[in-house]
Amino acid sequence: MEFKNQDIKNTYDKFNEDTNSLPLKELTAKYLGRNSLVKELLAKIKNIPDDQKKEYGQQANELSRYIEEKLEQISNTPIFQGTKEYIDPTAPFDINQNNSSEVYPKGLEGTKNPLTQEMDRVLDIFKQMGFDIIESRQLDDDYHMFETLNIPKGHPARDIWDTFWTEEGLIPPAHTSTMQNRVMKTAGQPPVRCVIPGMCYRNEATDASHEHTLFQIEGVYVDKNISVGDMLGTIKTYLEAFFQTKLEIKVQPAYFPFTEPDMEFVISCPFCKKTGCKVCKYSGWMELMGCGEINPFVLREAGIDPEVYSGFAWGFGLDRLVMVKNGIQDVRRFRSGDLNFLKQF
Amino acid sequence: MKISVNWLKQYTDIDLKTDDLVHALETKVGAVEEVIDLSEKYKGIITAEIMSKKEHPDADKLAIYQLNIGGKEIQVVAGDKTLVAGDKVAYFAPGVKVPYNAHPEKYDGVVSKISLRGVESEGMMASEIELDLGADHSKVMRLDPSVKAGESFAKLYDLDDVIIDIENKALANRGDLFGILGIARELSGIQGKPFSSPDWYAKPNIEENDQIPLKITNEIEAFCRRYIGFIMDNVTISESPTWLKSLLSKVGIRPINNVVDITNYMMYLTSQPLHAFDLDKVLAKSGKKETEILIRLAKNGETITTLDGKTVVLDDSTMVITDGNDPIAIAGVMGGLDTEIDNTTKRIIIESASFDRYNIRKTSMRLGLFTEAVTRYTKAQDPNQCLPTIAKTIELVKELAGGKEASKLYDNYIQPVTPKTLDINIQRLNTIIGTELSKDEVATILKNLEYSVEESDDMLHVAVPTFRQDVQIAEDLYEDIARHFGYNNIKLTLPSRSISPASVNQMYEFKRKLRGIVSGAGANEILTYNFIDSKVLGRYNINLDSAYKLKNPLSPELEYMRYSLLPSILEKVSFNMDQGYSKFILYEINKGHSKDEQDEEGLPYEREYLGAVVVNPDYKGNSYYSSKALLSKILKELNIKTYDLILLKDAQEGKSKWTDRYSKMLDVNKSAVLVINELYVGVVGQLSTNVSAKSKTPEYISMLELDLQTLLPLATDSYGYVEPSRYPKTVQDFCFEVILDTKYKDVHEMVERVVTDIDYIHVIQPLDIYHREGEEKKRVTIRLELQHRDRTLTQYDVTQLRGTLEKEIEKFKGKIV
Repeated sequence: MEFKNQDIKNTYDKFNEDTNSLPLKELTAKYLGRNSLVKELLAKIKNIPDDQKKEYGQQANELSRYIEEKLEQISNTPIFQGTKEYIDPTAPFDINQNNSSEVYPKGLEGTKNPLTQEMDRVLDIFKQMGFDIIESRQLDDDYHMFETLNIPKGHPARDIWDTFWTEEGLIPPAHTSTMQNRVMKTAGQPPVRCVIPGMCYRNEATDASHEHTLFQIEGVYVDKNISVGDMLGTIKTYLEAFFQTKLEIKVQPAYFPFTEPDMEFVISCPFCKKTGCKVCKYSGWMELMGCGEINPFVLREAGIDPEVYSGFAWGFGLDRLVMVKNGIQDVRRFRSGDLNFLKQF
Repeated sequence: MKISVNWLKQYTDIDLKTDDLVHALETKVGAVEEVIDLSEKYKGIITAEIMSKKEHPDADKLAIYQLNIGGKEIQVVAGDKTLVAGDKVAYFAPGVKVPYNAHPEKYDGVVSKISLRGVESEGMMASEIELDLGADHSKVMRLDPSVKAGESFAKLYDLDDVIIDIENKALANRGDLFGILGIARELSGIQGKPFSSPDWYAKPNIEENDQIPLKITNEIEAFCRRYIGFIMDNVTISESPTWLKSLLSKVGIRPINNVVDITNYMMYLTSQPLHAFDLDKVLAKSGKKETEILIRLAKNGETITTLDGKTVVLDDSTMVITDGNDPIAIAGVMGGLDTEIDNTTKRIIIESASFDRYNIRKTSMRLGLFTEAVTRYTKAQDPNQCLPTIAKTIELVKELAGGKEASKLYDNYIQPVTPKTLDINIQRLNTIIGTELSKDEVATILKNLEYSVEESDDMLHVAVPTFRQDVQIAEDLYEDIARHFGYNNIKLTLPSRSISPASVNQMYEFKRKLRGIVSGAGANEILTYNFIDSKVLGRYNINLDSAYKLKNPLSPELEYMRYSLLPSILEKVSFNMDQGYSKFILYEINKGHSKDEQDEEGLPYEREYLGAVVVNPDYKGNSYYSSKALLSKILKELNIKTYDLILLKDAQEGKSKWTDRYSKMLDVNKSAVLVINELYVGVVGQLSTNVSAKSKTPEYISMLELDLQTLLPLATDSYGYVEPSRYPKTVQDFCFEVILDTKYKDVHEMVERVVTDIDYIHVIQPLDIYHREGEEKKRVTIRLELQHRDRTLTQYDVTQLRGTLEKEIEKFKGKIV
């Protein structure tokens, strides 16, 4: 189509370009909606000299009709042009193409993602120690993400800067602890022995050591007379099985709203056996995870009597561990979809 | 939180060497970020006295001084010409490293003997900035006249000290540990010594009078739990004495003037933030005759210029201190510029108050103001500490600024906080921690930390002092006790359990099995993000309506939560091809969330999917078949033998979510829905040419997506094993000519039925489907491998079989050729 007026022509060109990238809803809003480009063009008519007004108006209307028709076409075509024939979907190969050895790509070496592989390994160890596996949710509500963990409304930890929120107030969880209440409730009454693997989401700018999406593994153990000593022993046992070496441990005081007492669990660096290396920044020690006795509030909220039962919980991230184990420098590689990376595993 | 060991020693004995002290803090308080030995920093710096001064013959801006550095005289050339004989200065001898290098571009900080315009200068005299005690570098710093020459500067100014920086994160719930007193108390407990708060803290005393009227109104008692105001006059503003400047600098606070420094000193000591206003400036601003302070919420759009010179726009959730009309401070955060203490100040109003921590945090984050006051107010602070803190402040103002009490003590404290009483059962404590502490041992630990303890049977009744606002339940006491006992002293044990195995998570095991199958089939497992760009969805004609939208995405590319996997996987195709990979299969197992689906909790259903994209340029037929081949492999491994594939164009809308989702992305004539037991399990297909062009994806790419919750129960462990026969196999090929529209499935199933009916052990293998251009029929060639259980098959058997097949195929309007 030919348009004399430059503005109208530009809008026409832009529209044709946009049909290749914008979805229908946006196209309609952008070109025909209330503050759209076409409305702008029509409003501009007052700036056109009188003797050209008629032609301008005609052209603007022509463009408007063209856009309407095109949009109508796009919304009405479930079937796209160019493929009149249909195939027999139940056949093993196409007509006259029986070279079934080429139907399926030959000579490919498949791989699993190093993160999921490591996750399987971790969970195997916990399974052997008697832990049930319950996967964490990837979209949860405020109540589970915060309230059940002794983080009431208004508490600093809730800040919208730390977590993502959907328009409805749902949260892609920032920690797998979001499942604590559920796993305890599902068990009914203790014993509760559960490991919770899952994706977590942090509203943080990404770089080589920070991602907005990470794998975390949570653990919950509730029974009669479960102590801090039990917690330290259990975590150490798991870690020695995971790193396949004896470890020295130390704990440092820390703070989480849903545990009391709470601490950071530190181990002797399994990669250099405490002599100092790049992984442990030459300190000989690696800070691994937070843990603590479950706060009685959390137990009560899940229907467990804290006077009778006690328990511990821990949480650690998997991405960093897999990185140091394999010498991966950039955490974003795990989710890059890059075959140069994937094929090495 | 930087702590000065010398400062701590004013409140408790410390018998530990630095290393042991750091270790004790690390294991019983929190992670230590940094340890700075100041005596190293100020090593070799001594005091000196100016003996005489001479003009420099060749430089107008320099002077030559003779210094007495304690029994020895040396010559120094300096740019500060204002020194006179008798002045006391700090001197850097050659070889000494300056604490702060103000000119890193000129030298490395190590002083040397040099020649300045032909005159020898042996060393350097120190300015405030070089001593890292302030910002002034315009002149040599004068020391107190009473100082003698040749003495250690560090000793004189209490700089032979160790500064330990404890990670703030570890102290997140301990409002009391942002004050030296609190840390001293902890250290006392750690060393097993009882701590006593200083007298002025336990029994504050203030002399009030009626001199200047002070009217304070608190309109927001819910947010401002306590407000104390007091006026002092006769104040002379000057530099703080060196001990105070040195103390503040050591912990990272810049000295400004005596009154401001006193408020910072007291805040750092007790963790109670204070503020001082210039009373006359307040009156000038309000225009009132009498001093008034009104605490309220700001009005939307109200502004204030803060101490750092910036103008801030407030809203109605922000607490402000006003002069009765306009804001003179953002409460608990920062004071206003026009009422600040400066050299002209003669009368001051001191504020010691308690503000709601949640409100302070919100305000601080919204305005981007992070002050030392905010750090403290955002932790739970004890309103009771307001009084002793202001009492001691008043003393210091009298001592260091000549001030005098000039008003009544205004103290608005409607609901005083009283000590909480908690009961500890010793047995329970030992069970929970895993220790064997006696009642006395526990009582001692608590009493050392200033808890009051009463004993009865095996219970302890503990009165919690109000400066421990973090202790609300017995478990909080357990933590204190365990920490002081030493977490690393707790014996490691393992809980006992029954030997029954943990329950199996079916879905997890299923996904693991699938990964084995699909990777085993040559595919590479990827992980992509749950967040997706609307532009990407637009490229593949995916409807946005069902997708959850984030209110605060990291970027526009991560605004929506995906409800299916294929678009994300497709996006990973082209860059891999650019890197030279021409043939590959990418797959992902992950979740999708659609607004159209909820679970029993009313939350978005966490649907699990397997999505795969097959890039196979070698196949000349429709790429659909490459993905279908992958699907066949998967279904075979899952022992799913019966299934149907219905063209997308024929699958009813609404019944199949695959149709709703993908009919505008996939070519509906060359894609199909997978149906098993009347359930719509997944979709296999290739992109429509339009979408292929839009997304710049080659047309030989195909894909599949499976709904795992629906697929799982359909998989079975039953292999359908058939005992092999020991009789030889017969291989027969049959070519069926059927009309074009006949589905391969129908032919295959017919053959299967026939050979099953006559109970032959069989393998059915499709060989070829041939169609000549223009003809209405096609030829389907199938190879049968047959065995009889009990005997060898004969030619007669084959002929019989052929006859049956012929009869059956006639039902499809076909024949055997």
